[in-house]
This record gives sequence, C-alpha cells and structure tokens, in this order.
Amino acid sequence: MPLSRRRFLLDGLTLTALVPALSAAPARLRRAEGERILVVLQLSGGNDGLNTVVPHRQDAYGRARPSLALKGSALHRLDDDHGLHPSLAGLGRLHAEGRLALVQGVGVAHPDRSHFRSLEIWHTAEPERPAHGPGWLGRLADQLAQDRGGSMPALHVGGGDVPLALMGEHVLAPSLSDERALALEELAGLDGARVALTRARPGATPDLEFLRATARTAYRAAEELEAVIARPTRAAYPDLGLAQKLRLVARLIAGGFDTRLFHLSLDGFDTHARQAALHTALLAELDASLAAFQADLEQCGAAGRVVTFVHSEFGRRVEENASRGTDHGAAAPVFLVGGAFARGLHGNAPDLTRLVDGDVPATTDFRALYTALERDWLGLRPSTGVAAFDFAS
Amino acid sequence: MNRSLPLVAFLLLPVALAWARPDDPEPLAPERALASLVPARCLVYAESTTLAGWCEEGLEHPLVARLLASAPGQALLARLPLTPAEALAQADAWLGAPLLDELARVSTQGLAFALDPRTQESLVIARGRSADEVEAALEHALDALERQFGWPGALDRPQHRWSGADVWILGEGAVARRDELLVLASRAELARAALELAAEAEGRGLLAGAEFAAAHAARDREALVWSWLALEELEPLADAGFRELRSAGRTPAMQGVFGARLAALAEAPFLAASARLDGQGLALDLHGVGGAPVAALTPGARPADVPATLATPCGAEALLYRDYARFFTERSALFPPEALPAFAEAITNGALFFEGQDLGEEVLPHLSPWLRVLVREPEFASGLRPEIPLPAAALVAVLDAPEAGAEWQAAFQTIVSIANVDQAQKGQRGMRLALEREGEVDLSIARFSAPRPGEGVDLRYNLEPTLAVAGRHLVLASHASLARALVRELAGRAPDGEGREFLRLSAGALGSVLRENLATLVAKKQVEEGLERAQAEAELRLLLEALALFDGLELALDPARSALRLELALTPEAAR
Amino acid sequence: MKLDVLRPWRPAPGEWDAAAAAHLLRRAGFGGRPSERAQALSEGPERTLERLLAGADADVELLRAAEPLLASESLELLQAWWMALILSGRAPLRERMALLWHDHFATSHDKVGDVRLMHAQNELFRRDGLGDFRVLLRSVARDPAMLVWLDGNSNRKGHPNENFAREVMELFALGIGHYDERDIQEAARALTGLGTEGRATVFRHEQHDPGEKLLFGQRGAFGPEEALELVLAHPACPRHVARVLLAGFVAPEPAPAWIEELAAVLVTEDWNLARTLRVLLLSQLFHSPAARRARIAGPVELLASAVLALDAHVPPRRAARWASAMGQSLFRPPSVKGWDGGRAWIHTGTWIVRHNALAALAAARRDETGPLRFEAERAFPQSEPAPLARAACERLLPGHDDAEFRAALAAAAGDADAPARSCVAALLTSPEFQLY
Repeated sequence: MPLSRRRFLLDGLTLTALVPALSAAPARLRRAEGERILVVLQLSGGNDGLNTVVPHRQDAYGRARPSLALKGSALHRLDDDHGLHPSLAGLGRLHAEGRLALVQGVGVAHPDRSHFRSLEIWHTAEPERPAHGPGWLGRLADQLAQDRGGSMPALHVGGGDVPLALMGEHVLAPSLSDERALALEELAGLDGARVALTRARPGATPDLEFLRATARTAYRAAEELEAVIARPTRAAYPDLGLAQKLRLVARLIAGGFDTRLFHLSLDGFDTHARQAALHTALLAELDASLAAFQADLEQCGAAGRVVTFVHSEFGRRVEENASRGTDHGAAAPVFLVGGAFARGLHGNAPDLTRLVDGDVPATTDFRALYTALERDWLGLRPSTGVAAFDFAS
Repeated sequence: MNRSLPLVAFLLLPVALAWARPDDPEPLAPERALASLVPARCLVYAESTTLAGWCEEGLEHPLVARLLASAPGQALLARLPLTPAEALAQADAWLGAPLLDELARVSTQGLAFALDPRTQESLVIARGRSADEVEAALEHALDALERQFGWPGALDRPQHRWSGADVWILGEGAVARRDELLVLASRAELARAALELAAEAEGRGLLAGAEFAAAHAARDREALVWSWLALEELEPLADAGFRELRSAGRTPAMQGVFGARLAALAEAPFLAASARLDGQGLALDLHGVGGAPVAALTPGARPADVPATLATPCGAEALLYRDYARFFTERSALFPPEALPAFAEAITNGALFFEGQDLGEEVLPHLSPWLRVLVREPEFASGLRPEIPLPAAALVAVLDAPEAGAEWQAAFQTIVSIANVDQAQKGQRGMRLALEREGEVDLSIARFSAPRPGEGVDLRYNLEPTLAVAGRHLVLASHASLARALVRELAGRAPDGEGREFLRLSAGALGSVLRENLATLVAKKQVEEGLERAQAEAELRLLLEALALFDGLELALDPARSALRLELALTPEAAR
Repeated sequence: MKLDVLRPWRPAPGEWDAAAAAHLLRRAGFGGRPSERAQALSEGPERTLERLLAGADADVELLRAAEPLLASESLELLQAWWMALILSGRAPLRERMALLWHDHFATSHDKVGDVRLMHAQNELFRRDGLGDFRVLLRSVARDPAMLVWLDGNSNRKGHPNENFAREVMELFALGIGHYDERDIQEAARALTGLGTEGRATVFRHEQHDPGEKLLFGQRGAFGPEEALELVLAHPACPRHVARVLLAGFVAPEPAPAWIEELAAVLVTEDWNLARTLRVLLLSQLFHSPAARRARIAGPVELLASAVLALDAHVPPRRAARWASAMGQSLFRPPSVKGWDGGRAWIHTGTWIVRHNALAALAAARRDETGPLRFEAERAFPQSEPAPLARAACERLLPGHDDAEFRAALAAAAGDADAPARSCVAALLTSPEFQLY
C-alpha cells in the first residue's frame, strides 16, 4: 500500500487538554507581522551563576574557590569587573553586538534548596504557598487562545512530560519530541479529495463549518511547514541535543506557525562534585546552540521578534565543597537574548563580602522579569502583580 | 552458372549453420564453485553442499526423527494441521515424484541462493549428479506446474537457448538447465547473467572479491549452510534501525555493553556465517570480515585477572572483558566528541560517590576488566513470595588488592543514602542500609522496609542490592542470598589467570521464568494485542514448548578473530 | 407524569432505518459492527435497547485479565485494557457509561499515582453506572482514588480542606449557583475524617468535626453520610444529573425544558439510571434530526466507532496511544472538570493527529505494537468508484445523503492504487465523520 509521506507535523504529540474555540472564525494561520515570541530555556539542576558571570576581581571569589575559580584573563569581558565563562564565546559576541541582556542576583526572597519545590516556584510564579495554580506560560497561552480558536499558542520542545509552566486552565501545550515526529501520513490520491471535502459550503451547521475551517488551516500549515523543513537551514547547527531542539523552534518560527511561546530545557547542572569539566561542557553546549539559533533567526529576519530567556531554578553556593563541586545556593544571573531589552549587565552585582547564609541573596524578584516579558514584550496580562523589572536603570 | 549454385549453397551451409547455432560452451568444470556463477551485484549469498544428504534421508534422518519423537517435539506437532509425513505425501503427489529425492538429485553437488537487494531479484543455482537426473527432475516440476495452472504442454519445450542452456520463461522469471546445472531466477536477466558466467571458463562471479574468495576458501565444508552478507553495501538499503546499529559501533554504549568484539561484528564491512546442525544441536558461526575490534579494548590488551570460575550452575552466566578504566583514560582517542560530555558527567557523579576521586584515573584502574555476570534463582524467605518473581543477578569483579574493597563499600553506602534523599524529596520511602557478615566477609545490604499494614505498596520483587568483598573478589548482587552464596563459593579462591568471553543461557531457567509469569504475559498479550485469552495462551505455550527442545544457548567469542559462535544445544532427551 | 419531548418515539414504517439504528448504537455504545447494526435494524429500538441495558455479553475473561497486570503498575497497560474492552464491542452501554462517569467524576492517575486504585474506580463505574445514582454518588464519595484526588486526608477537624466538598457540589451533584460558600465550608466540616489508609477507605473519628453544622438550611451534627443525603435531597441535584445525561446522549447544550423533564423522570424512576435512560433513548427528542450527529466526536468514541464499523482489528495499546495523542488520555483527565469536549477536541494539532491515525487505520499500516487488520477489499468489494463511495457512505455515515461528498470520495477512489482504502481514508478523515 504505497503511502506518500509528506513530512509535516505532530505524530509525537501528547496532548492532554485543549483550547476552547470561542469563535467560529477560522484560525489565522500566520502570525500578524511583528508578533513577538518568547523562548524559555531552563537550565535544570541549578546552574553555578558565579562561574557563569564571574566577578573575577573580587578577592573573596578566589579565596572561596581554590580549585574552581576562573582566571580573569580566560574570561570573555562584560565589564571591568565581570567576565563570561570561557565556554561562552558566542554569548560574549552577542553581548559585544548589543544583543544580550544579563540580570544578576535574580531569585526568590526565601530560597528553597529543593529542586522540585524551586522549579515549582519558577513554573507557577507562586513562591509563597504550595502551588495550585496553572503555569505562568499556561496562563499566557490561555489568553492567546481566547483570541483565536483552533491555534496552538504554546509548545514544549523535548521529550518527556509537558512541564508545569506550560499548563494552563484551558490549554495544555503539546510536547514535540523531535523533527522526525513530524509527518503527515497520506494515502495516494487524496490531495484532491481533501480540498473538496474541506471546502466551505453554504447550509452547513456551525460545528461542521468549524471543522472544515480547522481542517483547512491544518492542511495549509502542513504544506507551509513541509516547505520550510525541506529548505536547508543556512545556519549550521552543531550535533548537540539542545541545538537540534532550537533548530526545530527556528523552523517553526520561520514557517510562520502561530505558536508564540516555547519551552525547552538543558539538564545536568547539579554539579556537586568535580564541577569543572562538566560545567565547561554544558556551557559549551548552551553557547554553541544559542549562537547557532541567533544566527539562524538573523538570517530569516526574525531575530528582532524573538527573545530567549535563559534561567535556572537556583544558583550555587559561593564556597566550593570538599569534592571540588558546589552545593545548592540561592540567586543567580539570567540571560535575555535578542529582542529590545537594553543590553549589558543589569541588577545588583553579587557582593561576595555580604552574603546571606553563604549565598548570594536575591536582589531582583524573578517575577519582575516575568512581568517585563509578559507585559512589555508580549503585550499580555501579567501573571502576578509584581512590578516589571526596569531595564533602563 | 546454374551448376555452381548448389555448390555455393552447399559450401555456405556450414557457415549458415554455424552462425545460427553458436558453439555450445564447454561443460562446467567439476571443481567450479557455484559462487563463481553468481553476478557480483548480489550482496546476499548462501550455499549448502550437505543439503542433498539431508534430503535423501528425509524424515528418517536421525536428528529429525529424534526431534519428532521427543516429548516437546510431539507437543509442537500436535498443533500443526498436518503431520510432516502427510505434508510430504501431499507434496509428492503434487510433483508426481518423491519431492525430497528430486531435491537431493538436483543438489548433489551443491545448492546456492543469491539476492540482489537493490533490485529485489533472487537467484537459485543447483548442481546435480548428472545431466539426465536433473533433466528428469526438471521435467517433473514443469509438468506439475502445467497441471497446477492448467497449461497443458505449454512448458514442454524451452523458449530460449542462452549460453548453451535451455531456458523457460515463467512470468518475469526464468528456469534454465545446462547439463547438470539448474538455474532459477526471479528475473530472466539474472538467469542469463549467471549462465553467461557459467559459460566463461574463467568466470569469477562473487569470487572476484578478495574478501569473499578468502572467506569462501576458509569455509566449513561440513556446514549445513554457509552464507555471506556484504553489510557495508547493504547499509544504504536497510532501515534506519540497522544503519544506527552499524554506526553505533564506536560509541561508549556499544563498546560498554557488547564489548569490542561484538561491536566490531556490527560494523564489519562483510559478514560470513555458517550453520552446522548435528545430533547435539545447532551451531552458528559468525565472522566479521574486513573489520577489526578496537585494539585497546580487546582481551589481552593488558594482562588482567579473571574472576574465579564457579561450579554451581546458573540460569545464565557470562564472562565479559570491559576495560572501563581505559574508556575514561583514553576517551578522546577512542570515542567521538559527542560522547565526551557524558564522561564528564560520569566523573562528576563518580566523584560524589567515591569521596572526590576521579572515576577514570583513580577508581576504575584498580578493577580488572574481566567481569563475571550470573543469574540464579533466589531463595525467598518463607511466605514472602513476590508478585513478579524474577531471578537474582550478580556481578563478580577482581580488585588488585583486597584493601581497595573498602572504598567500594563506602561508595555503595553513599549511593544508597543519596537515593534515599532523592526518594524523600519525592515523598517516597527509601531503603535501609544493613551491615551483616558471612564468615569473615562484610556485606552491605540495602533493604526496602516491609510495608506498613494497609499501605499501598506492592511486594513486587524483593530486591536487596548487596555489596561484598571476598578476598580480591568484589561481589555486587541483586539479592543478599545470592551474595552470601557467592561469598561462600569464593572463599579462599584466587582469581583465574586466563579467560575467554562467553555467554551461557539455560533454556530451562528461561522457561521457568516464563512459566512463573505466564498469567501476566497472557494478560499482557490479550490487552496489548487484543487477542482472545485462549489464543494468547496458545501462542505462549508454543514458545515454551519450543524452548523445551533446547538445553541452552552459548555464545563464545573466538580470540583469534572477530568471530562469534552461537551454539544452541538440544535437550539430552531430544539429542538421544 | 406528562411527557413532552421525552414521549416515546413511534416510528412510522421505514423510519426505523439504518441511520436510526446506527444513531442509537452510536450514542448508547460505540456504533457496533455491521452484524450488530443489521440485528438492531431487524429487532427494532425497544429490543435493541433492552439488549444494551442488560449488557449480558460482557467479556469476562478480558475483565479478569486486568488482575495480573496491576502488579506491573503500568498505566499504559491499564489504558490498553480499557481500550481492549471498548474495542471488543461487547457490553457497549456499560463501557459508554463508565466513560461518561469517568469524565464526570474526573480523577487523574497523575495525582492518585496508583494503578490499582484507578482500576478499582473504573470497576465501580462499570458496576454501579447504570444503577441508582444515589448509590453511585455515595460509592464515589468513599472511593479511595477519589479521596486521594480531592485531598480527603487533609480534611481534618480544625483544618477543613474544602476541595472535596466544593467539587461534590459544584461538579458532581448540584452545579454552580445552588449553594453558597457557607454551605461548602459546612459540608467540608461534615466530611472531615473521611480518608484513606493505604488503599482502604477509613473514617477517623478523631479527625472528624462532631459539631453542629448548618447545611442548606438544616441543622445537625452531620457526618459524611448525612451531608451527602442533604446534597442528594437538594432540588438542583436531579437537574444536574439530567443535564449530564442529556449532554452525553443528546446534544452538548441541552435546553432547560428538556432538563426539567428528564429530571422529573429520574425522580419518578427512583433515581434508577437504566430506567431513566430507557425513557431517554426511546424518546422523540433522542431520535429527532436535531439530535443526530449533533456532537463532535471525542477521541475514544471516534476510534472505536471507526474500528467497529469497519470490522477492523487494532491492537488496543495502539488505539490507546492514538486517543492520548488526540487529547483523551484514559485515566488522566486534565482536571477535576474532566475533558471540555466539543470544539475543544479540535485544533490544528489534533486535526493532524486524527488524520494520521485514521489514515493509518484505512491503510492497515502496522507498527511495533503489532498488526492492524482491515480488509478493505473484503468490506467494500465494489470495483467502480461511484458504487464504492456509496457503499462506504452507507457503512460509515448511514443516513448522510450528500452527492458532492460522495463525488469527492469517488474521485479519491478513482485516482488510487487501492481504491477501497483511499475511499475509506478520505471518508474517515473528512469533517463529516468527526460528527458523532
């Protein structure tokens, strides 16, 4: 039985709840020009912020980390006092070109050292009580879905379950494991039938019209995405897991797909022992993948519309432990790549002589960054009442 | 002029005749190999010289008769709609002559099969004892076809004559006979190519390939079947899974689990396989030709101790050579760059367990690369039978000094503690750590606490990871009872000096595991595949009966070359 | 009592046709195989419904097959088991009711975390789903999976957890607007002490609040049983149940008049669901054109009806995975509200998943779960496109008479190497087939 495979979409989809379509109007396939996109990249395990954005001029740094401290000369310069880890050459370049904003000292007022609880806090933006509510991206997705029935506003790229951040009250974003999961299985001879069967016709009930409209949208999306995937990416992506996921995101963006919120994660940052080699390798993967992603977005002209928000659930302690690693800490820096945020270092630089419990305290509430992204970047209702982080100051 | 015309015609006649009837080629040389008749584009090849003998004896062959008479054999036969004798009789009636006898006659000097996967064309070449016998056999077959399809007389005469052979075209395929040689092909062109090769006295066919020729010359002539696969050329035609397998040869996972030799087999350009079937069972030899295992990781790369041989039989046992220390110390030379971050992560975790030491540089080098893995039935404390009964497994390794054992004990305890912290964060219960003794040896045992009354915990399988160091032997077992037994067996024993990689599986043990879990497996089939219970059970019982025919399976790796020998031994009853 | 829309349907000669029979079998089950439809057609609506209500042909062996699988703690196997029961086509009304109550009393394995408890709840729905609703509600309120799901164990004297009380009133029994916050708090107090120990339901006296409560205007030292009786006695309760039945069997937005009528029937029939359904499924309303193909098919019913109508065989594990990919992961509703249903099932992503699954069914494409059997040429032996399209319509969309639709199917058949399969694929993936 010959099947002509048209590579397209969503065989690996796992959906567990869906968008209520409140209008019978056909879903717009293309985003309106200039609609902005947010890509959230979570570094799971607790990234060691102090060795990522390094305050190398402080004596306390070298004293606290006899084996892990990085030499200033090896770092990529951010300003006189701070440099980026040697692996982050690409991010260093982005910073020099004015396309990277870093905010230091981001975290929660009362740090919890449990991975599960901290991730829950970041995902639901509810630090105070056991979280009941939906995820912060899920709430945004609910808002986006109200405007247009039949669209998929949020997407999780990667294997495994959809993270809490993406779970909305009505919307549960699908999970896309990889590009090979994209395939429209078609039987020979059905193209013509498809057009005939999904044509809008008078006399149909509202439900039938809705079904036909969604079908038309879906098949059109299929063709557009197939064209995008068939086009070779001009940017070269390294053969790394994160890079491949970001390439998929870039393709969806370039293909005009209506998804505006993406969530990905990179695991392995829980470096309790012998941190040096592993942290270097992880940051190298992060850097190479993000650099390729940005380059790709530049080439298809989308770089101005996409912000990539990189964060971790907590930082790590200032003093290294006896196993040449570091334990769970508190505040850490976050990155915002692309978009219109003012470049350079923001927030309060960590002062290693004024620690709280041996940790860098949080001087910026992470929810302030959420509000800035939700309200100022995406133009949606923020999840919390916390004032937006002021990038101008 | 009139009188010279007949003379000219007479003189021209032999020329005309010679033109119309080209010279028939010489008869096939007796020592000519069938492989030399096969066009080189065939990437799959198999041949047998002993098949004729089997056919001649038919159901009377000693091994076949024994198999059919044995208890498991009888059980299997009971499921078939026809007995073998009945089936044969029907075939004989169809052919109009005894089938097996005819087969024997056409294949006395060999039978070969070849396939060109690119075009999906296949070829069968048979060489009988004499031209007359083959002619007669072919006539029977063609007559039977005529009867079957209602073409009386259609196949009496050949339609063509190629390279001295009579050719019948059947649809897209062809059957041809030249003297005692019989050629069948699914596409006529392939038959023609084979016949042309046969006609050339210097025709090389597959033997033109140097590796093929060497392997063919070295083959086991007593084998039932000898076959050849050009794996490298087959790769682009195969599915993604196969390609992934072949490219995975140099990954740490492949080398770590399957070892250097098996990994070399997976990525070798060619594979030669032969199967021998005799009273004891089936022996399959697989050689990877043209490839070589990674030298640094093959047995003998460095002198090393072997865990002592154990006398007590096991459900499964394996002796493996895995130089994990070298994996770490030489990783940049051995493995591709994508694999390296995983090592960094392993070193980090290893440091966590081994008090900050570097796993590759400081911990693993004290462990010999020879590892013994075994599986046995565990003893259960009375009355506490788990719901999913699984056998116990253990790993026995050799340390270079008994003192090194202490840090492994410490690491084991650290791992259990860390696992407990992780479980606690998830709101689940952890394992208790106990320190017990067996003779002079300390055992670290991790036990799940007994469930509280009413607690929703199932006693699934009573897993009790245990670590013990007996002299220089390091024992890691899934159940404390097995660890104790091994400690007792290894007491006072020194490691062996030499070893050879092997894997042994007892079919009886496998069968008993299946039997114990039969209800679950039947239910699984019902539910996953949608079968009726009776059918699901029947399929599983068939598997059990087939297993009952065998004693066990042994895989051994030949130290001389990347050769894997797989032996399936028949049960003593069946082999008697 | 005087029935209006629910008065019995007396079909004129010819009105009980293939379309009518298919509609009854679809709503009261999952459509049934061609042989069952033929039988229904010859027996008439009353006898067919009697047979469905009796549910005598349940697959006992398959029901029992769950037991050895529970030890493996695999939810996927449990999902495959229920799907196997549905795809067997046996006792369809019981499975339909189990699915309805699973959506109504939505409980998710994601939080309960115990496959045995989910199985026990499922058996409860199967056993009590057609009986007295009051018995069903009382059993559900004591079901261990439900108690874990709604934090019964955290509901203690002095620290009442309102989750359980709220959902009983808002979602299970009364609906919004028929109680106030005070009622919820008092009911929560009455329910204190009801919890689980391991897998068993227990009542802990020391955690129960024994004081006086004011609930729906009544005063008393109510415990869990009394609180539930007060909820059941509330006039909004039968209406809420009636609405659930009407939305499930007739159309998504039932009119208030229908709800009133069916609620009255429910009470008259002493809350017996089977007898109430008999009235509903033999009524004018149910058989009216407005009720036919008035719902958008959910994943499970879409797949089951296609498989049964085609007399195909799909490995249940694969069908369960398809349903999950389409948004209906059995035993894992997204929240206590269950699945939104209706248009919520359909968007760009789910459309493609439906398309792929149904195309794979039509093409009988196997995967690692095993063979998929659908003998298209045997089911549709017609060789010419137009008769083939007509036969496919009659089998899969009985009563749907649309010349343009058939022409499109015929065109699909005409172009293809395997006309029957292409025709069936075009039909299954059409918007019309998504209407149930």
